[in-house]
Amino acid sequence: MDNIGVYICSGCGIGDAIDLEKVVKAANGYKPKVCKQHEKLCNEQGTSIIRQDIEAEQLDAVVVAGCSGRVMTQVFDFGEIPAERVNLREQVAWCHKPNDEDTDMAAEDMMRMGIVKMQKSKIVTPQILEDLTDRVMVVGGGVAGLSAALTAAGLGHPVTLIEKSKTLGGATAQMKKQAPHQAPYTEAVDPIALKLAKTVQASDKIAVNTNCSVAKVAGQPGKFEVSLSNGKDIKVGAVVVSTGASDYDPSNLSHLGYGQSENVISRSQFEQMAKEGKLLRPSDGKPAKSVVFIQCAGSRDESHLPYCSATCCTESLKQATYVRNMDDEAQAFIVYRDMRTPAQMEIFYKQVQQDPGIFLTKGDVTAVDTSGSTISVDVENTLFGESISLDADIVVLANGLVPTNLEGNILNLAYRQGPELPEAKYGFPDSEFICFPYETRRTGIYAAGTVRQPMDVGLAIEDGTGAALKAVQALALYSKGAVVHPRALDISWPDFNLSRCTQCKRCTEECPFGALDEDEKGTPLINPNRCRRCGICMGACPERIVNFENYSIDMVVNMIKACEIPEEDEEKPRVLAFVCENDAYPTLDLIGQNHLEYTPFVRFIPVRCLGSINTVWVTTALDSGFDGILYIGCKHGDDYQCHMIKGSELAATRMENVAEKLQQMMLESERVQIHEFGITDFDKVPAMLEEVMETIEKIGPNPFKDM
Amino acid sequence: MGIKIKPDRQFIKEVMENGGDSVKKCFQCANCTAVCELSSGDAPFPRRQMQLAAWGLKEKLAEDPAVWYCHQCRDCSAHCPRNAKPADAIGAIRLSLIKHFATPSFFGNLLSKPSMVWLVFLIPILVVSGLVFLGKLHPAGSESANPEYAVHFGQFIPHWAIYLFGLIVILAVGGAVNSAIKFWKGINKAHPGDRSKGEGFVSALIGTAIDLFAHKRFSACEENSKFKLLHMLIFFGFAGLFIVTSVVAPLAWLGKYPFYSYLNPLKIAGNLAGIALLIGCIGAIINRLSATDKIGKGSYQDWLLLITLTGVTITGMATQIFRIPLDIPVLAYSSYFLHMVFIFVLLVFMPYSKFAHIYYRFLALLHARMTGLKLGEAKVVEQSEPAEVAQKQVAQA
Repeated sequence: MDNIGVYICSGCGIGDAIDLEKVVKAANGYKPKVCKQHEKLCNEQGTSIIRQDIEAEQLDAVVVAGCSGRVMTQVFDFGEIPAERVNLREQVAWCHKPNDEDTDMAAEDMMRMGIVKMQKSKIVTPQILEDLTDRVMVVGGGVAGLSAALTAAGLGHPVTLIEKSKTLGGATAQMKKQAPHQAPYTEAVDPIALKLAKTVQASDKIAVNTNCSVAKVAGQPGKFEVSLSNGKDIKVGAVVVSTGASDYDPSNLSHLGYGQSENVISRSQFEQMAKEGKLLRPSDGKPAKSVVFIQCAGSRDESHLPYCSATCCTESLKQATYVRNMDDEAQAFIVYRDMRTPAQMEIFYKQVQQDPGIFLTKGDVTAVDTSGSTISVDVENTLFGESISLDADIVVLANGLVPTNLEGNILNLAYRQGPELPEAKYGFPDSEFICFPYETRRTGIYAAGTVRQPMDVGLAIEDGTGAALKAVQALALYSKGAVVHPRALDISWPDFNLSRCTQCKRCTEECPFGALDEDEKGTPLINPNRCRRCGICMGACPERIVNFENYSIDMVVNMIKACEIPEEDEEKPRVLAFVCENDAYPTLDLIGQNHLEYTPFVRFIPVRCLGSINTVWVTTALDSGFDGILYIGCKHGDDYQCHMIKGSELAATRMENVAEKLQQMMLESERVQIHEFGITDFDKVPAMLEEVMETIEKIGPNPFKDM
Repeated sequence: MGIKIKPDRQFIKEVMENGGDSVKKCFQCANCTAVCELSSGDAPFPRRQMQLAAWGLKEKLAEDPAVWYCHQCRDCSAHCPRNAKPADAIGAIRLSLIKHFATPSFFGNLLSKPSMVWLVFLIPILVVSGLVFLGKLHPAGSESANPEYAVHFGQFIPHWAIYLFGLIVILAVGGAVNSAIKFWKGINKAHPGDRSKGEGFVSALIGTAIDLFAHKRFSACEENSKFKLLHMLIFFGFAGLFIVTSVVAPLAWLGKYPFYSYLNPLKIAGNLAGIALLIGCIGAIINRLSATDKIGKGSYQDWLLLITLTGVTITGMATQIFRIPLDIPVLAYSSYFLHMVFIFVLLVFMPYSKFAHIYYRFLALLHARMTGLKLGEAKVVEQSEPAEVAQKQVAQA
């Protein structure tokens, strides 16, 4: 774009700290159509000047130098005319020494990069796919699925509900009673699933398919092509997976007596027994007068399920009330490791506790002796300060939940990266990042209910609603050619110049969302609606054939080149930092907002994800004389915070290639470093930058400088 | 193999009815243990007792001296995050145990049930009426009668009948001794402790008595600061009256009684003690009524003892005043009759009512001294956060 207007704001202390005349001079070097200064651009007068210029001067882009692009977003929104925000406030004026030559140089470079970025950008035209459908498919007809179906249908979307068994309702519908899902939370209630199922069946918006499973899902969000096991082929826009969880196999729990006595049973077996109306010892049919519940049976145990299933404590409390309600003489004992009754279930716990015939203790079960006529359960580390021994007619093992996606065959995705949702921690298909519940690693497919994480009925209802809203939101965005989170509303899309593709398959393998399929030769087949526009394919491509209209290899290369590198003898080192837009960039803003000072020798280029950094940018920076290069992004690993899931991790692995490049260039490996920060670590960043500058000083300037 | 668990559901029910209705609310966080001034590293009190009670392990509690350490300052209830009112629960446990140790057990049952309160007063009314009736059958004649006054108690209830009343009290004391022995044996068997670390019997006995007279433990109470003063007034008022009565009884036997002057030193002592007791009782009633729900307003037995003590004092004072100087026979005899009824409830039912705490608590504290348990002085962790304290104490328990 050539017709660029530059607007420099001197408010908020910018004019006091920076010599703006120098910034104007730097901008004028690029011969913009307009270049104006204003003391408060964000007020109406300021923005109306810009609007008038856009009109009068036929501007096709504006560069606003002032505050961070993360604030005043509405104020500086000029519709189709892109506005690049040069962050002179948070990242220069507020964090560097005022009225200092180095501070001014930072501002000038920022200005140059901003203008070049706009010069190298194109107006983005969204890609809106044809034949989109607004149908939502819900797989799994339990509480979460029913709730999702009702929510989507309630918003006017046609829904197809798939249920494997012959009736709707899921696991809780099989129960005698369920733990309370709404106020006052004091007693077990009839399963809400039955009621929800009736409402679903009565809805003319919801097509229910029971005894049915999904044979194949092909295509992409907005227009998935789905084949069902009953022979039907349907087209759906978004998918909610709510297939629930299975019980952890109790036959693995022989150390707690399972399989050694018929009177040691699982949570679900006891539920079934209660539902049938009589609590009798399976061995001889005598009424059970004493029932011992063993919590964490195979849960929070590295050799079984390492996690807490969140519901078993509540379930046992509920089942203890069965024991008491069905026979006042009978008593129930619950041996727990920690009584975990999340959220409102605490109220239920409090209520059950009051029953004089229900006995609770913390403790570790050391032995379940099934040799006698009654079972003897030995418990140590109890609240009594000594070991105890309990006599039981029935021992109930409160076994945990295992997500059904581990059993496979749920979606049968025709995706290059595999047929099911990728698993995160413990095998759950959640994106596992606190900001994005319901998200999976497959765009347009949302997980809800116990398949996502262990939860009670109340939460599963909410979860179904949440996932359905996500699905509906996705459909609305696709109709505009925009993308879902975390770059929600972004209409840019990766353009593959396939004529130069070498079929190396890096992009198809590395895409965290499985957006790319392959033809027989290995050429990527692009599914725009599966894409989240993170640019990881752009970072992966050795041929540099992947580019966005407003985020391209060439654009960043030119931004790097726009920075002025002082001569070696000026003793002004330069470090280029690629900064992840998701967390690292706001982290830098936070440093400015807290007025912490740091070195003015670093130049920041925001990137969509560390995974989108192409190695050519590194070599360009080194060629242009930068002494060091930083990648600043989100944490990777088990508790990753990478918004694109695999971006930081990929950047770290690609570092190996970078190291190789450095070796070829005879440069020290310390010149390129990767640093991961959470947004709360902002105060640690200045020290990190300081350390980097010290390292650079130690190893000396980049020998390519001045060449 | 640990304790074989056999919950005593009747016991749980009893505790819950006797003011411990909240015992099951306890979720064993042990904040109570952390704040309790009596709790020590060796005795995680009252958390453990809450758990034992919630599980109906009565036998365990019966042989646990810690139940009796508590002087009901109610700091624990004030700090309980779950409103489980440990102080009330422990009080209820004690009442159930009083009943548990009661001989004969009939009286134990009688005193523990609010619904039987009518019988608690009907029995003494019948007994005292009997004494009056006996007095009519065998009038005392003119023994020690003072012709200057119309009121002549010796003619209403003859002195020999009063001695008969004394005999009943002695029988009750026998019951108390029996219970005390059962209790003492039980705690010593379950908690033999290390006698080498403890004091000798005589030294421990004296030490315990001094502690009790000084109200040493009460001083640490935070939530119920008036409690110490009130208990002291009641304690010393009652003790004073008890001593005066013990001196007067043989004098009467020797015919040196009654005294008619309010300036008689024994009369002065008796009246001072009576006033102290009255102030203490009224103060305690006000204190209980104004207590917050969190701290608790007390159980049936608390009120029974308090009302009985107040009744004894007021009727005693009235009896005295209606005789000298007012000299109104009807009112004087009525007050005297009621006074005897209240005295009966207080003394004869002593081993079966809350009043029994005087000897259980004494024995428990004696046991602590003899086994070298330093109550409240062996706090495990002083500076840690409550949660940590609790955790450590749970772990130690």
